[in-house]
Amino acid sequence: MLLSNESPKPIYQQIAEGIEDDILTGRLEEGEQAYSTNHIAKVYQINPATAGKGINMLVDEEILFKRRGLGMFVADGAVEKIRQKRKQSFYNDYLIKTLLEAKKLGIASTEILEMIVRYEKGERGSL
Amino acid sequence: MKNAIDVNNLTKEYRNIIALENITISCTHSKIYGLLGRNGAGKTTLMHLLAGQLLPTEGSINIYGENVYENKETLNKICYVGPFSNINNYVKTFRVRDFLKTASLFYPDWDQDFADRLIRLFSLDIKKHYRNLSAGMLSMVAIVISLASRAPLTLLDEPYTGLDAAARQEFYDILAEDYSNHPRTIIFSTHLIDEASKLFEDVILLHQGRILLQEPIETLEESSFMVSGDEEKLKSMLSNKKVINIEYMGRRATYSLFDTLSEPEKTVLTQADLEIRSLTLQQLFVYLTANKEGYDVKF
Repeated sequence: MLLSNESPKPIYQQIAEGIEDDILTGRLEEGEQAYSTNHIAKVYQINPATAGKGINMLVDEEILFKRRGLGMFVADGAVEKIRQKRKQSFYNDYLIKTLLEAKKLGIASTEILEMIVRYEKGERGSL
Repeated sequence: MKNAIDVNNLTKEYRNIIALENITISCTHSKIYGLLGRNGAGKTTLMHLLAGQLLPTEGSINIYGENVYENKETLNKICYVGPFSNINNYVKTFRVRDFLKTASLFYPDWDQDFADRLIRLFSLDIKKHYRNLSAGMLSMVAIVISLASRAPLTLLDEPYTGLDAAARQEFYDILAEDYSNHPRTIIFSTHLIDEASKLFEDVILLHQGRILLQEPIETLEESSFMVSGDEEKLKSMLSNKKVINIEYMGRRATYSLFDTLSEPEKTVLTQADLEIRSLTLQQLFVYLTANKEGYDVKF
């Protein structure tokens, strides 16, 4: 995860999303210990309270849970929860921008669909 | 736990100049506060007052619930390394180790091991005389004292004059780590806002001797944006928002907002092909303090 002052998202939200990314890609597995507030604070030179806010957001959403005296762990079912949540923002964060760019370039919807099909074929071909 | 700082209706006048006017702030224990303001806004005066080195003209200052002026017990809880330009001729004969020795005797929570570690980190020569220290080295001495004092209330006034970028990074690293292990209240004034802002939890903005705002950093992050695109669209779609700056380039305009944008609002703007970025704290600071009165920031 890389933090940016210019992202429209506050730092604590960027931290939460960074941890979610690591869970989605398997860099952090369900049941595994997650990063501590102090560790995040040190690595990114941020206030521990800001890091704590990001972690607490994930605790509230039951993506992380606290084990007394041991620290934060990735909850069972975290991957599925993140997927459900991210699907909702996929349209806002990715699709609208893609479609606007396509419009500027005069790419028709049918052409975009063809690209998707080509991409999927290419993926399979390369595996 | 009592508040680290309670300042009520504080005014400080020097002869005819009003340095601080009717200031009220409170700071809880264990937070890092960014104290921001343009040159002459009153930051250093406020620090001097908090450290009991100046008497208020009016109003009250309580540190951990106690009056600070000439109160040794409370003064031991405060670490403020003022500018070295103010020191007397006797202190000017000091070597680095004499400064550290003096500080170690004054602060009850002084951590000598930590001080030694910082000295090694900054490659400071403790045998060097005051007169042979560069501006950067003096800043290092001040930083070592400020951090190793582990004072419950630590005032860092522009702590890194003359420090190069690498040394500043070391300082941020150490501050983040040491604050995690030893939480305390830190008031940190700086002009390098974007560098330091990730370390702040709350921001206090002084302008022309008054408090323009005191807010958690998240509140500021969630209410400062830049939106860029067709001017006509911006004008109509952001008519109900507080716009603090506008830049034009042909028919494109960029509006800077000091206002919140909900997720649905962001979606509508994005769909209208308007780009949204966050304002950095530094940009927000510049726009809010650009004119004499300061921007009216009431939410």
